[in-house]
Amino acid sequence: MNGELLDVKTYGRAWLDGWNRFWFLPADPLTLGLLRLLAGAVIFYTHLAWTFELETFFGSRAIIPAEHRALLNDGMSFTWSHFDWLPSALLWPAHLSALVVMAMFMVGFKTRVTSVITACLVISYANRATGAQFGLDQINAFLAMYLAMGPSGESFSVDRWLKARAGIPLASPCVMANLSLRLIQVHMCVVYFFAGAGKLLGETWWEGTAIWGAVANLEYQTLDLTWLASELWLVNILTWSTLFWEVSYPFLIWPKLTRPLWILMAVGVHLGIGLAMGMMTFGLIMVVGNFAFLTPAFVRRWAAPLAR
Amino acid sequence: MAKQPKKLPSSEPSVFWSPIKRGVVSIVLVCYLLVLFFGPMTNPIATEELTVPIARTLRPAHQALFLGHGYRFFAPNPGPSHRVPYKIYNGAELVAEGTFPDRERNWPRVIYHRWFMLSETLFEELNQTPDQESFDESQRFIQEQIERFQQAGQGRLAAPLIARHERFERMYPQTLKRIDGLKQSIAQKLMEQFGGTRIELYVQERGLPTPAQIVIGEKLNDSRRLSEPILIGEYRRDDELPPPEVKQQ
Repeated sequence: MNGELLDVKTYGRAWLDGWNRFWFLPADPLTLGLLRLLAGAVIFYTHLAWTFELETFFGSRAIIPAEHRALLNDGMSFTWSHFDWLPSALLWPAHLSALVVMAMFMVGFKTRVTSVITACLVISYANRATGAQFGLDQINAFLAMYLAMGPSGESFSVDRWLKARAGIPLASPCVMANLSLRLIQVHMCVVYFFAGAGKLLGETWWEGTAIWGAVANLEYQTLDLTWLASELWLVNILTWSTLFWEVSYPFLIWPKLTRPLWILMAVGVHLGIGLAMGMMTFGLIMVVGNFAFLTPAFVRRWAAPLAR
Repeated sequence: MAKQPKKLPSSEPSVFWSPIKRGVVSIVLVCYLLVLFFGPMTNPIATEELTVPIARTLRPAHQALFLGHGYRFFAPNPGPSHRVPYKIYNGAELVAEGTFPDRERNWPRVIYHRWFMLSETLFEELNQTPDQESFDESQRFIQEQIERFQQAGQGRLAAPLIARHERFERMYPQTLKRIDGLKQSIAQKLMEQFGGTRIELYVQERGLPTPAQIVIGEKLNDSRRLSEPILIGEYRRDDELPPPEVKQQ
């Protein structure tokens, strides 16, 4: 009995140590800085594009009524947006100011403040555009949120450049950098797990033809892949490998042995979707999310000249 | 992550957090991870017994932080796409005719995708909302089941059905109002852009070709795969006439 209790205690202690190592080891903020630069660029472009249809989607008589969100949610809506109370005259100034803040976040200028404002803006725009938002906004929002939590302006940034000029040494590893990266990693696993699990309900994913359904959809198509109609074995391989990769992602992205392959698959799949189905912004932001799994050593080796 | 000793020191150096700080943040983390996990776990499928109440409880956090999405990209199957054709008139004269999403008009590509999502949203709303008669019938069916369970003294089995019946009863008028509001708003915005005083809105589905159809020479834009447009509403300009009674399709 005592031996069993000891085992439980030992197991509990090991589990706790594992939890602490996972979340609370200090980490180099280098990877976080790279993510800020890349995610910041996608976020900036996403909102710059809104400029072409600003009045249509965010004006006082926007195409999606403001009450649409409340009616979606049984009358109780916490889908806040600053556009709900913004006077019409301030629509353009507010949008241009938002773009300036997002550009500052992207280049890492006054990052501590601009990261928090950017995260709020991303959520606010996406909420107001309920009905026209999609995966891009969802990934943009959580990346911006986690990047605002950690020291994402400590590398690849104007802030870092200014500090270097003032002789301030590089930021040392810190727990918040690790926490931010871990939250991005875990969130990516949640996204892929449910994306994969949802596909397991679909017969075309099981019979290996789902990729055909994606490339043969004219509304999405930007690259003609209809030649795949004559190469159905390839459609089968692409479908099943995508399914296996998504479902196994939460498990096989962690081991050192499989991680590089799973990241490479992510780059291939998402850039492929971006090129063939016209969703390059979504493809890019998913690739950026995957870069949370790059080690600081890897980032330092490949991008050091830009970082500091 | 940076290479570190296997076990964390419980106190100094300052770069490590104290056990108390780690403990407090751990509790917050566990709560947050539950919120995160129950987003896709309760959307789009949820059970009246467990996950609907959980989703309702977590809704403020999900909505405020823009979490709670299903992440079911291209699931369960990649399906046909939907478009919204429209015809705009000035009196009896046709002044504009078009469809959204439209590759020529909706630019850059991410904006095209917004219009595409809007047409899909409109179609989904219409497709998933039964007409009044079908709704009443399904509510009657649930009511009968409730009564059967109650007569058999199975209050526990009746409870989730009662909750569902009440929720549907409450949500249905809101859903109709939401769909009407969306159609009305789209109609007004299109007339604002193109001019005209009257608009007819339609929805249309484009079916997916089979590989065999493509092999024998058919094209993706073959009009035979477009369904007949279904009229979903006819509207007049706000500043011309009061909004008409909108028939639910």
